[in-house]
Amino acid sequence: MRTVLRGVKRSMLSKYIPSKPFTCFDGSISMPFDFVNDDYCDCRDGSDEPGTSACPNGQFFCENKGYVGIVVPSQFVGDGVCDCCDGSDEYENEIVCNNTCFILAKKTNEQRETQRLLHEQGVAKKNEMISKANAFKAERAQRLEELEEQLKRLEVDLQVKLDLKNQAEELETASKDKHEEAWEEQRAARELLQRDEQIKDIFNDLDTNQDKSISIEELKIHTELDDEKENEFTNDEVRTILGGDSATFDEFNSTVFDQISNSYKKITQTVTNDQTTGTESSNPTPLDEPSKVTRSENYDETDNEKYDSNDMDDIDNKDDISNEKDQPTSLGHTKHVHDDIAPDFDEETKKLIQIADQARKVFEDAEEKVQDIKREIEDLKKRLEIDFGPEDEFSTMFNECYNYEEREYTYRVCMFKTASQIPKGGGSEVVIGHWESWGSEPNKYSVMKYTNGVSCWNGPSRALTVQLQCGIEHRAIDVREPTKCKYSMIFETPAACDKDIASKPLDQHTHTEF
Amino acid sequence: MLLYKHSYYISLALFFCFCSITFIQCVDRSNFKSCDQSSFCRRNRKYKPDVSPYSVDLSSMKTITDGHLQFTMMNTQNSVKFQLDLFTLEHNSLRMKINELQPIKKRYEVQNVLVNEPKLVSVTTSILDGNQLEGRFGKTSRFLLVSNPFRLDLFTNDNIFVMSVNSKQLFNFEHYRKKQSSDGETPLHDEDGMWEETFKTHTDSKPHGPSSIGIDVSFPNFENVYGIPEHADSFVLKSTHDTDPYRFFNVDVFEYDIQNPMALYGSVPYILAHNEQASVGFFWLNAAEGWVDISNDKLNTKNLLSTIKNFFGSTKVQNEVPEITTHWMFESGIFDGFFFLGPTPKDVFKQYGLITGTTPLPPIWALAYHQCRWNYNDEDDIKNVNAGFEHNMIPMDVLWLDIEHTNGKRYFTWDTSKFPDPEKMQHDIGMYGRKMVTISDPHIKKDDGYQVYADAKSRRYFVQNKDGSDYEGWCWPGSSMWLDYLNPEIFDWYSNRYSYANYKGSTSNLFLWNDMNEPSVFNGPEVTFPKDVVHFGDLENRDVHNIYGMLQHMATFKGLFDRSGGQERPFVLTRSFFAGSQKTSAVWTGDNAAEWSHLKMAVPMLLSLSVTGITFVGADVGGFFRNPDAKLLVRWYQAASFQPFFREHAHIDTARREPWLFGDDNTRLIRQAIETRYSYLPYWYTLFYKQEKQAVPAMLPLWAIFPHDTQTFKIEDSFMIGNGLLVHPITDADVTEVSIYLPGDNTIWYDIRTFVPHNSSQTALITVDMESIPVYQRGGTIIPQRLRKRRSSMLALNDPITLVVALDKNNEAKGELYMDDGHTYDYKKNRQFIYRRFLFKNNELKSRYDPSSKFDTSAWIERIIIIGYPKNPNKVSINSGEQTAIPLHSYHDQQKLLIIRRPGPSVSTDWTLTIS
Repeated sequence: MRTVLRGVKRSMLSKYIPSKPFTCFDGSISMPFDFVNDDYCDCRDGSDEPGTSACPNGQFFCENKGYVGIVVPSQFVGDGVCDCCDGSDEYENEIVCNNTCFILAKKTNEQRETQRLLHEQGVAKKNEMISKANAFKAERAQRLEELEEQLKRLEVDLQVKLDLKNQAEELETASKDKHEEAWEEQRAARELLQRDEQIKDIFNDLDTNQDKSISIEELKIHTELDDEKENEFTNDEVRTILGGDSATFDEFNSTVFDQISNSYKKITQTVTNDQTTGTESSNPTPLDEPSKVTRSENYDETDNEKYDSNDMDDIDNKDDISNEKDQPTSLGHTKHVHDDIAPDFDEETKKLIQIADQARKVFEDAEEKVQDIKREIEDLKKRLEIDFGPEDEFSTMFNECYNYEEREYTYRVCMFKTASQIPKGGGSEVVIGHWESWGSEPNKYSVMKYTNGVSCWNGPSRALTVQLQCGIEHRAIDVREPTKCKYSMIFETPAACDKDIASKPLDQHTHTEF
Repeated sequence: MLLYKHSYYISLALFFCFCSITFIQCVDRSNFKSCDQSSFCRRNRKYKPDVSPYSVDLSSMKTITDGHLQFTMMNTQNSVKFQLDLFTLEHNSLRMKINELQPIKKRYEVQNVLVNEPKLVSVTTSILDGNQLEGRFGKTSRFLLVSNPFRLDLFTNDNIFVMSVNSKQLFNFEHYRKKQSSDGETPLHDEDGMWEETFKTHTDSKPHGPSSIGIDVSFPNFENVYGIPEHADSFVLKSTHDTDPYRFFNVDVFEYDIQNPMALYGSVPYILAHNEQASVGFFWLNAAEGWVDISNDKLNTKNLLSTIKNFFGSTKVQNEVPEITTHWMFESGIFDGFFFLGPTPKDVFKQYGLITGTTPLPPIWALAYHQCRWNYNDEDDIKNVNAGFEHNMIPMDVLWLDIEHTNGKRYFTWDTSKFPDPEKMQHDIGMYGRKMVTISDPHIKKDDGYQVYADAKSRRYFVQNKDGSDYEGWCWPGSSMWLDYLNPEIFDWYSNRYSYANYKGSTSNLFLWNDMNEPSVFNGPEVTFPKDVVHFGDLENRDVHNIYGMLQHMATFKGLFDRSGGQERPFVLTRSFFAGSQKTSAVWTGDNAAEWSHLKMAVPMLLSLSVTGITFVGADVGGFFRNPDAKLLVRWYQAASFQPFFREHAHIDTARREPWLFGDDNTRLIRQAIETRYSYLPYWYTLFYKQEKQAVPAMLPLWAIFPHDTQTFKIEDSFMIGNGLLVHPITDADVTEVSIYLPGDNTIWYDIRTFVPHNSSQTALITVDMESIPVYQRGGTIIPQRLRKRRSSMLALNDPITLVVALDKNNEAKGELYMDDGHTYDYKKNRQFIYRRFLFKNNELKSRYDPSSKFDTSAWIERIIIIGYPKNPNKVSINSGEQTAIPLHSYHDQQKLLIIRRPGPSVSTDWTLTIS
């Protein structure tokens, strides 16, 4: 019979009474007390072998005098690894385990005190953050109220301004229309005049022998008037235009001018020169088509660069050509360019326009203000919806960005917004996650999840998990990629400090017997 | 490990195939040759002479020594002469070599494979009718050498006709020749591809021209043949009538397909045939590219006769005997064939083992559970994964580091930013009885600042192009070169890289993994060396291709052996292998995928390897590529816990899959599977010891234990571990029932979990749930187990043993237990081991041993479980020497289970347990 019962907690000793048979804790079997710790497992629950490795599910208690008693699985007993600081798990083994309980206790206490101090300092900062957050929050709530009130007022005001604007514009439009109608009439009259001038000009121009009549020969030299460019400009064709062998000024005016006015060119004028160039280089499509064919046939990745630059050239060409194409080519249009600008509005109209402009500006300003307020309200509401922790302790960190420098990358997390990876050797920033949510209970607020980042090639979309721990400063202290494209960051912040730890007295141990 | 990784794969994908959509599309079958694209295969497959032109001159017979006969042989069509050597070997084996009598260039004979020069036995010959020579050797073996046309028939047990060579007249020996034939000699076939051939963008210059050899070996009266790994295909080899032949050519196949005869990472040109009467084998020692066609002649004959029946008129079909013909083709080398005449499966295993060697007993931890991933990122990661096993109380023995642990894929170095103190890391892991493994691939980064490269470069140690320049290719590190291990000096130099002095940061706790050693060359033809690169001894890679990977892992093994002064057993894992690789390395099935079909395929692949001598084998748990769901992962753990090499491994792009990441329930199931493995480690270790001695693999097809049960011949969803356990892993999702054929005559099979007995010769319908790993202990066996839990195998060495005695119909059983220190060579050098034989008979269980060995252990017999004991006995007593004790017992009526409590004797003593 053993005097010391190995592996049993003091609180459980009453279940092991040497003078009585032992019953498994689950009540299944009773046995002579000799069977306890005899290195053979009798109880399904392992309770008969608290001090040996015999039971697969047994538990061994190390007293660890001077430190904290702990329970280790039976499989740690006598396996050559010192698991208890008092070495009691290796009582039968050849290896000697030094008793490290005292050192461990000291170290643990020191660590705990360091931790406590850290949390104490952190909590102070955290409290500041909380009160700031609370102030902000109150401020924001008030602001929201104000804004909503303001919005109501402004929306009424906006309606008034809209009405004013509409009225002013009505008057303005009426006056402007009147003015423009008058100008149109004037212009029509002038255009008629101009046409007459033009007819005269062209007639005189064509009538090279000054006989007040245009002959076939005189017109024939203007080959641009030939409808069928490829053939010769025959006398018959010219005759058809002239309506006979010649045309007098009246005949020219009534039948010939309208036929030729669009094609006729006055070679001596610079405007006409431009037009010629434009006509000759028009129709760019045939040039464009073959280059496309070539491209698709020759396409391979090594020619990529070459192809790209070709493509650029093509686009430039096309643009140039289309610009030229847009330039006026007909005589009528050319004339129009030289038309006079409409005369200024009369004073009355000018005044009305001024009034309308004023009304518009007033309305637009008011509208912009309403939009601004709406936006601000939305932002405020959005932010108020974010869970910043039970005491709003994370609130002040909103949209603050923190970097972690690693060999190849800078990792940046902008709190409650996005996280990204920035290559140090150049290259573009990659979003590795957008704010998603906190972790799961019980330590919900110790984990931040940023998900739905840019997808990996042939893989999942990137994501970042931020493990928060107590620290005096806000800073990322580690970033890893345990699985490809799934990042994990350790981030220190006072917000993660715990006032319970900060206030825990030294002698109260966190993990005694488990 | 996969082919395309990191930035390389993008550039390479563009480079090779320009399809950048997904990489599954990038690597397809068209990256590897079909028979039609390999000219010698094409030529040999076409070769069908009316009458074989080869003739053996029996009068030329010379007896070199007793058991070695020599003949001249001739191709009567072109008068090329050959030398034919017959060697009658011990243990019913025969070797036949055929080589050119006077080749213009010496033909390569494979080195580094045979354990020793095989032992000869005397032969008695007689000429039968002028055209046949009969030889008798051994107790019951016989051969018949037919002169013209050349044929060799083999008989076992005197008269059982088991093998026939060239009976289909496909023997075709392409002699070396000059490109311009001066003597007007006409080639037998078209010259297509004889002097040059191009595959994709690569041209093989073939400076020596054609040199292939084809031969047919038939197995009359056999319907099933096995072996010739490595192929992701069924265990019973299929007819290749409508497909390509099975191919031997060590290559890195990215995301390999299953159910096809394509070549994979390794080659063992060895085939076995089995029927109720006999098991036989044929091994052709040749390291060149090879192909094997398989045809079931019974089927073919029928087909043939039905189509051309009229031509044969009334000729009666008498020969209804089934026959399998195998047609072998190798690109170069000589014919060096070994014929193993059995007649039992165990005889064949032994016969092959004597020639190529057996797997030496691995350190016990190598048989335990391995945790790997591409990659564990840094020392913290390793620490945390180790802590995960501790925290979740899951046993684990080895943590692995893939290529990212190195400084830029420079093997023998560390990425010091991630692994600043590898020695401490190994020491810390070692505290838990655990080991570590690092990877070391054969490509050497071309970088003058890299010591290994610079040294090798200056010594001209790299494989060369045919113009004498160093061959350069692409692999993980970018531009790389490859050491020429064929040169013994280079082999030794390389093995010396593993010394503690040369491999900085390595400790005695660190072991090795050789990957990519086919070798994988990203920009090479078929992702490997061009065939015309040159090796030591004026050899082309064409001649030696399939032994390259083996030479690397042999050198690695030697390095580890030497670093401990020959005290400690090395552990090396290799992807590429050849016949004989078993002597120095474990093998895994490469880059499989997280698919149920791949889980299922692991069994036939591992069986094919096992029966061809590569016995320490496994498949990546969970599947290397892609992510398994929890169910597949759990089932994979359960299956692999009963397969020899047990390692989880995953691609870098996959999600983490350590056992505790799939919820408590799945963690528990995985823990149970791994714990089950650990509980059977004494049995595994015993089997591997026996394997080293007797060459019987630990993992076996059912027919190896039940050779007369024809039902077992095609089974590949169940297998045996030793002769005691039948395992039927669940390899389908959502099954609630499995059908399991239980073999044997009057045999009882006990469920190892419930002890429920099942009768043999029936297909049992078993209800299963996620907990189930259908495993049955055969009545008549005694299996040693360790039922205590430990975090690693090395910490359990002294733990007590439980004997599980499963009684047969006669209430008898027997078994063995091997034990030693688990890691040194003392078991060999000083006979420091225990080899116990247990026999249960007449209500007595006896433990006896071989007194010439001795090993001190504190391990003792903790428990004896007797399954199938008919009634509750009155008394149990145990006598060990002078002491007699009366241990308590309990009896469980329903299960007929007798449990002896604490019988107590040391494992190392003799004792007798008596039940009355």
